[in-house]
Parts: sequence; structure tokens; C-alpha cells
Amino acid sequence: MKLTVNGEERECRARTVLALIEEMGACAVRVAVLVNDDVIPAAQRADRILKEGDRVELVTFAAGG
Amino acid sequence: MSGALPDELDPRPWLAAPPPTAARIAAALRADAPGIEELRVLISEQARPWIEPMAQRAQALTERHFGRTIALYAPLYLSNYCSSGCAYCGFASDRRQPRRRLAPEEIAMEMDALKAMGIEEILLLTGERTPQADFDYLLGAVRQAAQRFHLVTVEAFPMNVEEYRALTAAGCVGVTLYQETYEPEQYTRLHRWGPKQDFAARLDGPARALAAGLRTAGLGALLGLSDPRFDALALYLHLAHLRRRFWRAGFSISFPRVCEQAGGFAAPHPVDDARLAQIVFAFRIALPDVPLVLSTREAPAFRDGMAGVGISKMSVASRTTVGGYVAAAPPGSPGQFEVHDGRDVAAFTAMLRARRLEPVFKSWDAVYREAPAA
Amino acid sequence: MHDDELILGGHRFTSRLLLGTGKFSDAVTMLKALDASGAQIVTVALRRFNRERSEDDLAAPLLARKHLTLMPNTSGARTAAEAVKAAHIARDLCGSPFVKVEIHPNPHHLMPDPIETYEASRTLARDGFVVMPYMPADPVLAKRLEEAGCASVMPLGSAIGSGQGLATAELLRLIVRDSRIPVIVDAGLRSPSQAAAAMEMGCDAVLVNSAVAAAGDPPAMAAALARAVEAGRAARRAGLMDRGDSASATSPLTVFLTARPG
Repeated sequence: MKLTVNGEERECRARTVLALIEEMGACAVRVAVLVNDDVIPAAQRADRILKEGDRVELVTFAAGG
Repeated sequence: MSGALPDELDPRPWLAAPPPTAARIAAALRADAPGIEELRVLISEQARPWIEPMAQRAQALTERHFGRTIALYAPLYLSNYCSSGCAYCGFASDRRQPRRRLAPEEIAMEMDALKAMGIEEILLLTGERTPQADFDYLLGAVRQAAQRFHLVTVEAFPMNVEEYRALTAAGCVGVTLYQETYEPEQYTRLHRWGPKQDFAARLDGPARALAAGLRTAGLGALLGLSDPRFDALALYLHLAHLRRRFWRAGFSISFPRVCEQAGGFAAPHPVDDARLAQIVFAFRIALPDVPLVLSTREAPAFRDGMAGVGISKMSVASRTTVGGYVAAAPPGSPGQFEVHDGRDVAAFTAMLRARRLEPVFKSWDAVYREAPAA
Repeated sequence: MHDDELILGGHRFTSRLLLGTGKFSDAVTMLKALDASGAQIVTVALRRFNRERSEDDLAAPLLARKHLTLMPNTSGARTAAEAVKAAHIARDLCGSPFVKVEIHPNPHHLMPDPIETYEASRTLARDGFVVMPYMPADPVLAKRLEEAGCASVMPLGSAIGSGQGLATAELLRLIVRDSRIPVIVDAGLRSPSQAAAAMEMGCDAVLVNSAVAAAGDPPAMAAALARAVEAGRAARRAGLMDRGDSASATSPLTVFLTARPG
């Protein structure tokens, strides 16, 4: 289904947030996930189902002062 | 009724410190960020010979923080009824003298007389609570004052938060409440009867006033009642404690000194002119930005010397009898204390100008108050 | 030795040097400098995950250092709402209750927005964060932030990255004098001597980033800064001697105390 991930529209196979993280190659890295501006804690990622048109942000730490 | 000093106001750790050396005194004079330790050093006996350098530093700091100005105000005693038995006060309830209180029309006339003298800041005084001069009476006087004067303050009895709120709403800006002495045992001995025996209620009065929204609190100790070093250090701690909690509030410190009045009370720890000056200079050095106040209780030569040298605010042309600005007090009525500087506004301001000090009558505006000037 | 801990929001620290992770040439150098600094609190920013840059994953090496407390900053936020959102994301990411509220809308001078910072800090303090606001060196704002529940205030010494040192020294003195919570100078420090000066002045800690990242040898500079912070703190506790004043003669002021009346 079509999702907007980190600001880009893409066609994704994943149906759950957890699956999307894997699809985006982020499973080895600590990320925070927002779906339509809601933070999805780790415990809920396997169960959270994605819908067509959802906006997903994957956030991690960056260098900064 | 006898209280104890809370730990944060207890000056004894500093009193117990060893006497300062000359090097320590010199360092205290120059300290960038002075605190209670500097005050302790500068009010010590050992610092007495340093009075001239202390005065120089006090003048420089007063000029830096206040410019070359002296704020001026006048007291209006509304009533000399009193229920308390303070050993040192001319109005104590066992002193025989005519007791009266000003009726509203008389209050208006006294205030008009003060206004005609150029006064813009008025301090309203009563004794401890009495049926004749209770809270409602004081509140009425505040309302009358707020119609005429830009800055209205009161020096009366400790009140509760609701009462202080009502004063604020009526146009009062500040409260003065001297602890008299911070030494609890001496306090008990001197306050022989009446509501003023309650040490803690008095001590907490300024905090209640500021919590209720009053903008300024005037503190002080009646020098001579106890070891002045004890009272000076406790007074500093009291102010520091209040300043941290009420960081938007303004504070001032006054230096009333026990002097003779009818009743013959003799100060247990007399403070002479040089000692009083030393204490004032020490406070100016330790608290560079706090207004320091000297009243007409002091003689003209002393007031002249202290103006602008530590002291930044003074009362002028005061009457310490009930009213007294419209007509002289009836015979046999002593004031709360004897006024030694009886100069009128013109003479006093001429002295200030001769010393290149500008008299300032108005440092506030009624528009900043909660209550509209009616 | 540990009778002088830095206490922030109930958490206790022995190092008074905080380090930022930005502007280093690479992550390896940054981690070497971090280790050399002895810092226990380190700031990080947030960015979108990018698979092509996953080797720059910071979270793993930082979280592996168990003595470290992460303090995510909200840099990039321009409003209180954005900063609050970023703080929640960061807390989900690493579990740390610390947040550096950093809101600078102007990308040239990077000065913090006092109003958005206050709003965000108040909200985040209520949300249970250990709030560390980066702020202009304003003594009144510092008391407002203290009242709002912040764990510290972090006034700037000078603009971020400017290396102008303690340009706000007089204001910092006022803040230190009146604050009931730790004061941490953050931004603009360039050298160990400046860090020591901040500590001598009475600040409780310093946060540096460019001073280390842009140094010739960042790990060595980090170590030097750590020693400077310790020295400045020790000097403060030891009681500095007073500056000498040059004497200036003026006419005597106390003749009236000895003159006879009459």
C-alpha cells in the first residue's frame, strides 16, 4: 500500500509498524516511530496495523550539541 | 507565645566565628559578591577603626545603585491606641497619655496637609490591633491615602493573607514590619503583654504580605534591644530568605535606634552614632541594591552625614504624634518617639541639594497599583 | 571526593562537564573525545532514520556506555509544540527523562526563543521530564523557568559556535546569585580557561561542543576541559582572594561622627 515514509511517498509491502521497520532496514538500529504524529512505543509495533495513506516517521539520534 | 528562630534565620554560627583579622576586613570591604560573611566581618568590633573606608565604599555603592538621589516619605500616625505592652515604646498601653484616633475627616485634612508639603509617599501607622484602630479602620485610611498619594505603605500590626490582599486591592503597595529584636528570649522579656508577644506571627508577617500580592516589604530591628550584631545578622538572613522566595518583591531595611521617650526605657545594648553608622555602611556593602532608610528619630547632623552614604531613603518633616500636620498635638502627648530632626521639607531638601543629592518625592505611580485612584 | 555532586532532577553526577556530540569529523573521534572528557551527560539531536547512513547510528555506542545519561535536545524545533513533540519522541527512543529544550528559530545567530522555551519547559516539566532549558542569559527568565519546574537553567555564554566565551558574564553572575537550581553555562565557550572562569564565577557546570569538536585534537581538548572544570570548581570552593582595588583619595566622610555638636 501507499505510505509516506520520512516525507517520501512509497509503495510498501509491510502491514504492521514492526514489519515496516524491517522493510526500511532499521531493525538493527534504535528508532522511534510516529504514525500520523502519534509515537508508537516498541511494545505496540507488532500490533499496530498500517492503513493506506498513513504518514510514518522513523527517527533516530543524530550528532548535535 | 514565645517563639524560636527558625534555623535559616539563626545568626549564631556567624557570631561564633573567630574575630576577623585586618586582612579579612580589607577583603570584605572590596568583595565582589558580598554575603553574610562580609556583613559579619564589617559589623564586628574589630572593624570599628575602618569606619572611614567603609563610608567611602558605602557612598560609592549607594551612588552606583541609587544615583545621587534620596527618596523621601512622611509618616502619618492614625491612632495611638495600643493593646500591647512593649517596654520600649511611647505608645505602650500602660503609658498614660491622651489616646485618640483620627476620624475620616481628620485623616483627609492631615493627608491634604502632607500633600501640600510635596509628599507623595505616605506611611500609615497604628499600634497593635485595638477595637478603636482595627483592620477596617486601617483599610479605610489606605483608601483615603490611595486617592491622594502615589505610593501608600503601612506599618501596623501583623495581618493574615486575606487582610493583606484587601490592603493591596485598596491601593497599598508595601508593608513595614520590624521584628524589633530577633533574639527570642529578649523579645519575650520586652513584650510584656498583648498580641505583639507572638514572635512567630510577627516574623512571618512580611511573607504573608508578599504572598498576598503586596509589592514591597520593609524590615528592621530596633537597635539597642539586643546585641546589635545578633539582630543585624538575623535581619540579613530574614531578608535573604524572603528574597529567594519572593523574587519579584522589593525590600528595604530601616535602622530605628532606641532613644529616650517618656517611660524612661534605657537600651540594654546602647548603640552610639559611630556604631549605627558602621552598621548602616556594613549593610550597604553587603546588600548594595537594597534601599536603606533613616528616620527623623536621628539628629540633623547625623542625618546630613549619612544621606547618600549608605542611606538612600529618609523621612522628612515627620510628626510622630497622632496626626500633627494640620495642628500641633495637644500638650502632654508624646509621640511614638521623639523627632530630633524637625526641619521642614524646604530646609531638608536644601541640605540635600547642598550635598549634591537630589530629593525624590515620587518614585512610583498610582497607575501601577491594582486599585484605581478614585 | 564525591561530597560535591551535581544534582539534577534528583539524579546525581560527579562530572560537571557536559558534552555535545555535534560537529565532529566522525563518530569515532566524537566517542574518543567523549570518553576523554569524563562527561556523564551528553546531548544528541534527532533526525530521520536514513538507511544509507546507518553506520552513523549514535544510539548504540552511547547506550552501551552505562555511565552516560543521554540528554536529547529539541534542536530543529521552532515552537514549543514542536519541542514538546521532539521531547516525547526522544524519550521513547532512549528512555532518558532528560531533555535539553533548545528552540532557536533564527538559523544565523541561533539565539534561543525565550517565549517558546518557557512554554515548552513548563509543559515538559509537567509531563515529568528533567527539563534543562537552553536560554538567553536573562535573570528574570531564569527565575520563571525555575518556577516552572526546570531541573536547571542553561544560559548561554555567547552565541553557539562563536567561541566568544563568557560575553554574558555579568548576567550570569546575577543568575547564579539568585538561582535555587543549578546553573549550567551552555554555548560559546572556546577554551579551558573560559570553562574554569565560569566555574569560578559560581556556575554549577558547563556544556561544551564546538570547543572540543573544532579543536585540533578533540580528545586532548576534552581532557583539558575536564581538568579546567574541576580546577574552577575547586577554586570556587576554596574561596578566591579578592581583587585589589587601586585606592582613590576622596574627601573624608565620617568627620560628622566625631565632631562635637554645637
